[in-house]
Formats: sequence, C-alpha cells, structure tokens
Amino acid sequence: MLSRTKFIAAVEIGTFKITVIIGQVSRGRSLSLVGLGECPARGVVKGTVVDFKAATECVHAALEEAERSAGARVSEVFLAQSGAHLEGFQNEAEVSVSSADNMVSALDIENVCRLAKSKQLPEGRTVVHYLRRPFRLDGRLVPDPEHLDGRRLEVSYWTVHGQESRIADHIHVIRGFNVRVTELILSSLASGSVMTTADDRRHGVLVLDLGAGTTDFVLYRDGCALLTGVVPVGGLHLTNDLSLGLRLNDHDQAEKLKLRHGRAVVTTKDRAEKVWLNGDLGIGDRQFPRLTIEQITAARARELLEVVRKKLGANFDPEHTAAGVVLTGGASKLAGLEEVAAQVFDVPARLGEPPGWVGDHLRAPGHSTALGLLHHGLGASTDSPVARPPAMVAGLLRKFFTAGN
Amino acid sequence: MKPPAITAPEPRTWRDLPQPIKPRAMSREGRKRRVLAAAKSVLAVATLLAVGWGGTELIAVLKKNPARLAAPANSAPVRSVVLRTDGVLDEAWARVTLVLAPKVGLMTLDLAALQARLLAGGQVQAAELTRRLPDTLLVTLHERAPVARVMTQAGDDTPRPLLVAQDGTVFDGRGYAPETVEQLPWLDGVKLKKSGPGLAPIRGMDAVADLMLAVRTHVPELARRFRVVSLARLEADGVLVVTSDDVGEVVFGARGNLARQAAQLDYTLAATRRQFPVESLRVNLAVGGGQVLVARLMAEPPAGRPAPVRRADGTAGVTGFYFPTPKPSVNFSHAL
Repeated sequence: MLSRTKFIAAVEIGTFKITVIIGQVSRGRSLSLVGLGECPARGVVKGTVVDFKAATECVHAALEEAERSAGARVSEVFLAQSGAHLEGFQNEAEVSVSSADNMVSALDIENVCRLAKSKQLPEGRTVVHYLRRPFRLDGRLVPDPEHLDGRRLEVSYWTVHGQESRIADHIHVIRGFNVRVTELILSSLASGSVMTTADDRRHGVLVLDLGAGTTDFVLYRDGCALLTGVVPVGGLHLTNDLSLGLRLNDHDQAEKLKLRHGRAVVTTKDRAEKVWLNGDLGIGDRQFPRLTIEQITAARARELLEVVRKKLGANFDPEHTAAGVVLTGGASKLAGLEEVAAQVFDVPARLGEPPGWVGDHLRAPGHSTALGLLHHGLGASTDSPVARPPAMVAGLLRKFFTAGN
Repeated sequence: MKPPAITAPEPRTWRDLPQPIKPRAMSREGRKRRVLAAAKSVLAVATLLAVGWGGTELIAVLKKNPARLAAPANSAPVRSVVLRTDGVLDEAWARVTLVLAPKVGLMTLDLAALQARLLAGGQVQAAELTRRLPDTLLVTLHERAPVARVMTQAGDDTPRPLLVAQDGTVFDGRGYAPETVEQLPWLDGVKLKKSGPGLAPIRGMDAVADLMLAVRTHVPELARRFRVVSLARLEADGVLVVTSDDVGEVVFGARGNLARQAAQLDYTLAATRRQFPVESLRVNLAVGGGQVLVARLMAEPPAGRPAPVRRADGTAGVTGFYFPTPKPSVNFSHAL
C-alpha cells in the first residue's frame, strides 16, 4: 500500500436503514472516526437484498453522505451480513501429537485446524466465518497449545455459511460504488464484539441484536463465539402486529404507536385507558386502548425471545452464561424488553452499553453493528488459529472512538 | 508443508466470490469513481513509461557521449550582452570590460570574475550579472556619480584628470559628456595614495559633495563657476576653501549649515557687488554666529588707505579689510 492513511467504511445494510461509519486508519496503528452516513432502506427485506436498484441507491446515498462528512473517499468496505439464509454448524477434529516428546508443534495445530474446517458445504453455499473455539489438549481447555505437552489435540469450529447468491448480492451493491469489500462480518459478531467486554465473553454471554427485519444472536463462552444464528423476526413484526391488531392501514402510524406506547411487559391495568394516535386532535387522530398495544407488543416480544431460546437449544446453559443477556439493535429500545429476556433466558439481562470511549452521537443501539464492524474487522480474526492480544485492539479502538467527531 | 492427502479441501468462502460487476449495474457515482480510478491507472502507467523512457535515454547518452551530460549548456554561446545602468556606461564599454571570448558558452561564464572586472575601474559601484537562457547575458549596473575632478600625474607621465565620487573613489570617468566634466570643480589640497592597481579613496569627499549639492540647489549659477575646492584645511579647521570665477576665495564651514552659507554668500555678493568687484573678495562663511567676514584682496594699497597687513597664515596678496555694511551698525561683519 502506497499511502499510510486509508479510509474504511463500515456498512450495515439493514431492513429499516442503511448505516455507514467511516474510520481513518493511520499507519495501521491509530484510528479516527471521521464520517457518518444514514439512509432509510429500500429494497431490503429481512436483511436480504430483493431490489438491487433500490438497495443500491440507498446504500450509495449513505456512502456519499458519509464521504461528504468525512471529506475523504473510502478505499475499502467492511460489510455486515445478516439474513435468515445464514446458518452454522459445529465441526470437530482431533489429531495425535506428532512429536516423540509429545510437545505440540505448529504443524499439529495447523493439521487439526485444517481437518476441522474441511467439511464440505452443499451446492450454492459459501463460508462466511470460521469461528474457532478453544483447543483441548488431552481434554483440558487451552487457548494456545503450541509447545505444551500432550497426546491428543482437539479443536472445533463453528462454521457460518450462507446462500452464495444473497451474499454476492450484498457485495455487488457495494461494488456498484466501485469500492472493494475487504471484510464480511456477521452482524451479531460485530455487535457482540463492541457491546461486550472480554470478561463478559469469558464468563459467557448471549448477545441479541434486534433489528427491524431480523434478530441476530451470538453466544460466547470461554472467551470465544460458541454459536451464532439469525431469526427472521424483528421490530417490524411488532409493528405489523400492531397494524393488524389495531386495524391501522398506515404502517407509519403503527410504528409511531409502537415507539411511543409499546412495551415488552404489560403494566397497564386499566382497560379504559386510551392513548392518542397523534395527540394533536387533528383530522385522523384517534384513540387506542393502551392495554391492547402493550398486550400485542409484549406477546410478540416474548415470542421472539422464545424463538431465539429454542434455536439455541441445549447450547444455551444459564450456568455457563454468567454475564447474562445483552440486548442491542434498534428494536431493543422497546421498554421492558430486558425484563422479559431475563424471564425467558433465566439469566440477568441488560441493554447493551457501548464502551465509555464511544461518542454520544454513536451510543444509540442502532449503531452498534457498524461500530462493531470496525472493531471486529480491524482487531480480530475469527478464523485465525492464533489469537490476537485483545488489549491492543481495545487500545486501538479507544483511540479511534475518542478521537471521533 | 503439503497437507495430508486425506484432508478434504476447504470449502469456498465469500472471498472466492467474484467482486467485479458490470458498469451498467453501477450507480452514477460508482461509474464516476471507476472512470477516475481508470484515469489514475492510465496516469500511473504513463508516468512509469515516461520514467522508463527517460531512463533509457539517459543510459543511451551515458554510453554514447557522456560529455553531453557533463556540459549540457556548452552548445549555447553568448550572443548578446544587455546592459541596464543608472549612469552613462554603454554596452560597448561592457563588452570591452567583460572581455568575453568569442562563442563562449553562457553556462560556462564565471560570473564572479566578470563582476570583479566591472567593479575594478571604480566607476561601477554595484554590478549584477544574470544568465538569460538561451544566449543572453544581462548586466545591471549601479554607477558612482562624480562630485569633483582631480589632476594626477604618475612619474613623468602626462598629467591625467580623474573623477572623484562622493565616497572618495577615484575613477576614469568613462562616457561622460565634456561639458558635464567641465562643470565639476577641481580638487586641491589632497594627497593621492596608490592602492592596488588604482588610487585610495580621498577622505573628506562627503563634505565636498554636500557643499556642491547645497550650492547647486540654492545658488546654481554660483556652483557652475566654482573652479577649485581645496581640502587642505578640512581636517585641521573644518573648512573648505573654494576658488570661483565670481569670487576670489570663499571659505565654507564644512560642519555648519551649508545651505545657509550658500544663501549668505549669494546675499553678500549681491550686496557687495555695488561697491567692489567681487572677483577680488575673500568671503569667510565659516566664522559662525551668522557672521560673514569679507576681505578685499588687492595687489597694491589704494591711496589714503591703511598699510598692507600680512595675514597670520602667511597668505600673500591681502592688502586690507573692507566690510560691506548693509546695516551700518555692524562693523567688520555682515549679519544676515
């Protein structure tokens, strides 16, 4: 690379909006946040591009806005990937330590990792991530087995794969702006990396990124991502339910009611209590029972969380999730959601808080994925057998976000 | 190391997906960026080609004729010398003084040596030489202005007049019109010393320049008739003694107000001219206190007048004192 400074755009193509954050990387060491662009999404359903032209216009508008605010042109893009087409599976491998003195060599590590990743995928599927879990050497967990003494080395990978055509669509939307996609990162991993601490991940934590069209989740244990998943249900489904339940033709009005009066827990006891749609007593303004609104949103929110719990299955164990559940994403703003999450998952739940060094204008839960893209993309390599020192990454990002606008 | 044969190849990852798309699928901004990127690439390739071509040419020259690189400007001889001056010197003088060899290259000129030649005569106070490619030498001069002239004689040689500038520099005075030179007063009472190939600067010329300037400014017709300015008493008495066609002798106080003294001289001559021929007067303007001492120089004492008195400094020919008295109450002096 000729230049010592480059501008990287973190792009999240969401169902509700497109978010672009531009980071300036200087000499590969320091980062500054220099641009932010947002645009309402069109042509995207449940995290999947269904109208290439409309989606392209929105994404490019957000990119242009971010470039204008940064005063620079981006050279690379870190792209968030979501959608129900994404799936994952666990694949394990083990090798006998090859040396006579039973000391694990780099070759042993390489062999076991290659074996664990060699599972073939069905036609039309492509790998998005290899998420390595800790090694096991003669049954004990070790983060780095090299030069340790043992006879049997095991490793398992959580392989995330997706529909090749849908991933290609996302990439082509970005390529239409004539910039290269250098990292493709799961939305849940991006959010999880910035909304949790290393301690949270070591103790075990479940991160739920509730978007408009999908809910992405990642379960961490022993400092590594144990599994990931996507549920094609999000905040817009609550809006749809409200629209149907209250017989509202206008989707925007239902969204307005959800944001103002929706709750994940029913607290209203007075059946006669009404709320105004607009509150301006103008034409079209009318009243709705607050209890009904809360019942609809609460039912759907609980159902959503239970779907996630069901999808996690036996992998989720409250005993191994001491750091609880962290909620993030735009739909996590629904009042009382953490209370329901605590009931459903039987562990403490909280709303995700970005680290203190994130500026106020980026602390909204809707920005967590874009922030995490830069965090995860620059500081972590999920399929690398050699772990990066997390302290260095934290230092980089601290500089990056405190220097931001 | 080559992986074991039993290991299946890793499946395709998203990095294996082809990223390029057709231009028609790009947005307007994307196409613009694509064109810009292509233009940058073309520019980079063109730059590389140009550098490569330049390097090839350089190597070829080095192999065939390295002298071309050593003296790249030899092929451009000086065709013209352009002179800019605030004085009287001309391009012919410049060419003669510079002594440029025929077909000498512009880039090979030793400008410092040429500048020294221009300054050697003394008439040029400052000289600047500039190369104007491809073949012109620009000479810019600041000349000294002559204040007086002095007659010199070395050994048995013919006496030769030279000009003296305000800073005392003695020089030949090339290019001046004869009438200009004739209006300059001669210097007297100076001792010329050799300094290198020329003469050392004459001390006290500042006072002479100031005097000439003051008189020329206030009484120009008198200045034209100044014939000799003597510096003999300048160091000792601080006076300049001037011999003029109008007045026998005028003593100026070099430390006083010369403009005022010039005005006093003009007034005194006008007042005295009615009584005596002023050619025989000795006017002393250096007395101070606004006093002017006027004496008449006579060869023979007139009848009924006091006997001749010898001056204390031994100057001959002073036969008596007469005092023009525009104001009768003032004896032996003329207050202005």
